[in-house]
Amino acid sequence: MNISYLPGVESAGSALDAERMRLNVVASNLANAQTTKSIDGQPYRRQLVVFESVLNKQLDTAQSPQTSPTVQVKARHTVDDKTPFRSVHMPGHPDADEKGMVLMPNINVAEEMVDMITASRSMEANVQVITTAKQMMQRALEIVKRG
Amino acid sequence: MNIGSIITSAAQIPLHPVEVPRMPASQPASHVSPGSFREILTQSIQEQSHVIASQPAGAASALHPTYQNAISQSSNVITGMIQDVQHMQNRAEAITKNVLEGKSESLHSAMIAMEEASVSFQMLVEMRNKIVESLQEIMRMQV
Repeated sequence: MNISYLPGVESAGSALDAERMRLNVVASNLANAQTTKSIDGQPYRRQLVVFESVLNKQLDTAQSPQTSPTVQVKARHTVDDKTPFRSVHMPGHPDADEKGMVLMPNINVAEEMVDMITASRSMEANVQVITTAKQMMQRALEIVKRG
Repeated sequence: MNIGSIITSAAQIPLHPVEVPRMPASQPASHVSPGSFREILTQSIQEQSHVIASQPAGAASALHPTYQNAISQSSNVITGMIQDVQHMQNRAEAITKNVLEGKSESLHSAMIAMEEASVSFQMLVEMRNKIVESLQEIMRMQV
């Protein structure tokens, strides 16, 4: 396994992957905010994405004993949000029960928008990490440049 | 591989193995007249020519051990680096191909792989420049 020339790029790359998955989940949540009947007959349940960290020890070769292990992030899987569904009074709805109440998905659009902004800013921060690593390496290469 | 150690080791390729003989202990270090400096220089050149002349004729192509050591070290490092660069470029090409064919959706991994290949290639070019510069410096030495 080759060691990367750019420091910190593995962690940042894994974070970009994870945030992309989070954005996917936010998009499905927003698209299904009004879905009263999903595959299992229930209203659409809000999905959450769970991150976990993966400790990635570099191979302890003789050339690089001082490389610190990088901690990467992985989006493990999506879980269902267990908060109860909202009950809305809509008598004319085809899915209404005998009292005229319809169970709507437990999705708060404002929360989803905040999640989306969080994912976007986190992605920007990690891209900034990679850009900074690239600039650091360019500066190091300038040591031997002529003139 | 640590970039810093490779670059500094490339910059320190020894140019000549001659040790300047020490000045006599009676003279203080601050008092260096041009005459004595020329003496030291001619003495060191004579020593080096004795070393070259004393080698057997058949070993004319055998270089001074320090030269040989330096050249073999740099060639090992360079060969390793070329293999690394090749490996990184192959990897970048494979990942980019996957993304373009739609097999992988992580565009950023393709970008990162391309950037790493580019950085490693630049480092190889700088190493080559440095070694060529050192060799030119050696060539410029007047006999």
